[in-house]
Amino acid sequence: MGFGVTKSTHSFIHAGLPDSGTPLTNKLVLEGNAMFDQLTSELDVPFTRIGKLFVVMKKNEVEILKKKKEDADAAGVPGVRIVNSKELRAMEPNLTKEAVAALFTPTTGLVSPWELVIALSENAMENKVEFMLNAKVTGISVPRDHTFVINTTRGSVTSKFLINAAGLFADDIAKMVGEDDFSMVPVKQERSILDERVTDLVNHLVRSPITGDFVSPTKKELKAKKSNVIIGYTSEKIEDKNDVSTSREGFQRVFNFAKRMFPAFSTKDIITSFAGLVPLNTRTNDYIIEASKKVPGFINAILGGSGVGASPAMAKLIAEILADCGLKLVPKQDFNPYRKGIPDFRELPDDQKEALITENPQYAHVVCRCETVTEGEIVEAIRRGARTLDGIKFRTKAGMGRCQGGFCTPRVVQILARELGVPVTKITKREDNSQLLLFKNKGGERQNEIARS
Amino acid sequence: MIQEHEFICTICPLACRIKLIAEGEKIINITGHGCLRGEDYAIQEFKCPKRVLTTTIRTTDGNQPLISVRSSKLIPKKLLRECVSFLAGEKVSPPIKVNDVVIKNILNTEADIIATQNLPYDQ
Amino acid sequence: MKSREVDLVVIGAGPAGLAAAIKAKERGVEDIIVIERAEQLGGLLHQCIHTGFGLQYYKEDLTGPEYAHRFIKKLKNLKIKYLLKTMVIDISSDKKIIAINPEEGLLRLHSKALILAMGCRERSRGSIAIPGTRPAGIFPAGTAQRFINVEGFIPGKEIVILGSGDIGMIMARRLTLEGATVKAMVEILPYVGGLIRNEVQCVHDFNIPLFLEHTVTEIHGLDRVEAVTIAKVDKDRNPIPKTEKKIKCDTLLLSVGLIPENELSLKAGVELDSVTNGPIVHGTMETSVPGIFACGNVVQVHDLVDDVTIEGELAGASAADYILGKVTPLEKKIHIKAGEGIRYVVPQIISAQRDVNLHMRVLNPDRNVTVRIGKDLLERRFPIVKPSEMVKITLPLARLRMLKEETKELMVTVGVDEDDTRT
Repeated sequence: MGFGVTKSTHSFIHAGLPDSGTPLTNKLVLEGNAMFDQLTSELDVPFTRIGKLFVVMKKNEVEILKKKKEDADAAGVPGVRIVNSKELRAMEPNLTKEAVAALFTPTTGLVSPWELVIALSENAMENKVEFMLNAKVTGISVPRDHTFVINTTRGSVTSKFLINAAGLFADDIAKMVGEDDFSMVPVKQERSILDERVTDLVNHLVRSPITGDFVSPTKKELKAKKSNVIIGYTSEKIEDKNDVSTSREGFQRVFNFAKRMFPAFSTKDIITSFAGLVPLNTRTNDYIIEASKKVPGFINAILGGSGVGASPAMAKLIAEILADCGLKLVPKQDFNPYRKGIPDFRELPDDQKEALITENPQYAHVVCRCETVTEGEIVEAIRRGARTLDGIKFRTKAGMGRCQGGFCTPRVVQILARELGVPVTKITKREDNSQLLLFKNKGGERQNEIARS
Repeated sequence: MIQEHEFICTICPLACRIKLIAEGEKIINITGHGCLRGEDYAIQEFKCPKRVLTTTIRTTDGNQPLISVRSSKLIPKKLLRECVSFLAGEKVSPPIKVNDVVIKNILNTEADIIATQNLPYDQ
Repeated sequence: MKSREVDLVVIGAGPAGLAAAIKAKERGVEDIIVIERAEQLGGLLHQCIHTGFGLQYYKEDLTGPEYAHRFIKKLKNLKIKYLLKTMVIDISSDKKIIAINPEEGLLRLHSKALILAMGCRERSRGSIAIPGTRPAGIFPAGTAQRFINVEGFIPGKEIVILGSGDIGMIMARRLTLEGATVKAMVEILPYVGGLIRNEVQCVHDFNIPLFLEHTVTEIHGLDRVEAVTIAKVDKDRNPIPKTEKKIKCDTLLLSVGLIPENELSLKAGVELDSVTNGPIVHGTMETSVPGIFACGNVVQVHDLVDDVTIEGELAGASAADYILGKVTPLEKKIHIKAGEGIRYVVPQIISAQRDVNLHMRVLNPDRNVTVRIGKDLLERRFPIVKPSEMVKITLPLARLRMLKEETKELMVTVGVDEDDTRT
């Protein structure tokens, strides 16, 4: 879950500065932003209001900032203000001296999107939502009594209402019920992560209002001792919905911007690079959150850029749409809004570390040395559903540090094999049959196999 | 038929490029070596290049699935892969100490295969 | 909360830490604890099953495990205490350490002296920014070595290796012997990065196709590596257009550099050298924090384990002197600077009170050169120098005594002999 588009972004919960032509997006992003404190607190997901600085380098570009502020004030985005070079210097001491002014949006927040999705899914499961994973939808039929029959690779499901939240592939799903007035187009964004040792250089999300390129810390909580810096944004429309490859040009563009903004960076600080896709629909620039006019009970829930931040507000809207469509909604009496995440061993104070270890000595065996992730956390992640190397990585951050899994991979693989009761050779990087990590050696079978081939 | 062979000597950092001219198996001339050890090296490489074999053998111990081993003597280079193949079918059991012979006279090379680790490791 | 006062803590039980602990014990330090995060002593020697270790120290050609075994035996005979599967998670400049392991939980230690011997880590794909997809099947060479030699798994069937350092070449041979096909070894420089002996016995012996002045410009394959694209590079190491070649493979091994692991050193307030990425050390192997010493690959990446052992022994002896109160106060501090042609020199600071072994690396390979220390303090000629082979020069005390009182700095340079007309 969340292993498609969601994991390859790094979510800024945007303040809600409006764009023209996208009224629904503007509304939902602004509303959603305000909901994030409570949501993330209930779900035990780290969230910070990092604040964003749109930085300009030329005096005549300040006009752009003024216009943005006007629009923001009109839309009701709180606290937006222009910052002059003196204040900018105080807010970002390591920012280039070339910067002349910035627009500051204090409510811009930062969350890890896969942490959010994992937390949401765990909480949903706790509240009795059923998940069918690895079930690819192959067809949908709409019989006369308005009940959808959804055929998947793991069997069929029937339902009176169907919410299309298939993101990049939402057009494929919509076509299955006869809605074909839009396509989904992937827009590629490239990113790089910088070593945590440069985190102190950057205090806010710093972005160019003209190109969209950005530099940001990944965490800036008061308690978090470790954070990386993420840099990115090379937006280009592409054809292939499965193309998440990085490019030399993309990498260079992203790094050149970052270095221009923060001259202290060096390429030695890069620890990894990746690309993600943002789905855009071809019908409009705006989100499509609406009940289908053609097919009763079919609801499109198609977000796009800034979608993570808009999602809680979108969910409220969907609930209203469902009610309008005739679904009787009665608030659940025993709804549990709370979810506790896997303990972040590294961040616990010493006495809590000790208590955890006393309860379970696996928390005293450090497996990922770069991020100080213990066997206890890894086993807990497996208990909660992780089955692959990436599953462990995104739930515990093991493998995300500067050695990028060089040290911990052999150990994580063994733990997965042991806990899942499968041979090491069956452990994969991602959820897919074709991604074998390793082949067994010795004991005769490997030698024969290679001799034969 | 006269053939020219070239060897890079590995005896010292000078890494002399040694040319050995031979007719069939008969050595006619050796040039390029900086010392007599290099000359011996080239002759050996020409006649029968030999190497130490280092590899691993499976064990019956689940906690330590392999131990590392080496040949007690140099083995003809051309037999290295065959030796590894042969060892792939072998298994050893604890207790084993460093320098213990685990296979005697592998493939008639007169070299033994000896353990370079203890099994179990911590003894 | 268990808290203990000890004489000496050594972090890391690889060749550096083992040598340091043994020497310190032999010099009279009683209460020593060696802390090791792996499941066994010996550090990475455990998985280096090939020979080439001990040629200088023991005058024998040993495998990594055999070399480690000798020091492990000594450690145990001396009854030096060690903790396995134990990770140091915090450290301070006043030598307070927090470590954890499953048996004892959280351990607090406070030692009189500390020796840092954590070794290094390998550069990853991400840190050299190879474009392309992110499939399974990309491994640092050392990780693959662990899988093959310790756990018994082969990472793939058709391998491309990026980098021709020693670990890359060793793995080329290892994989070939175990039945895989190494389709290419790709090296960005115009010469092989490791020892000639390995080039002959790993690359030539097994006919591994070697592509010098090439690099990997793209990785292909969505779920698993399917191919890599390699291209020739120019003098500035940029890929030359139209020289691309796609090589089908299922595994990419990376042997693209080692970086000293100094996270703990930074926590302890130790000053690092920006070229070596290791602590700045005195001739005694003491760091910028009094009582904290460092040795082995954590200080500088070594070629030979024998040098690591000697450095470890020096650190152990110095730490012992420090603990037992036998330290002579430093009379002066002379900074050693890397000058023309030299990438770095270790130690970076010396006093003129004892012989010093200088370790350095040159920037470029060359023949018939002279290394000069100071304007005319000492010079040594070398028929061959290479960046991949550490240059070692002993600076005797007798020479150091010839320095003027005010000397604060010694520049080390290397250059081709001016009067050398030999070809």
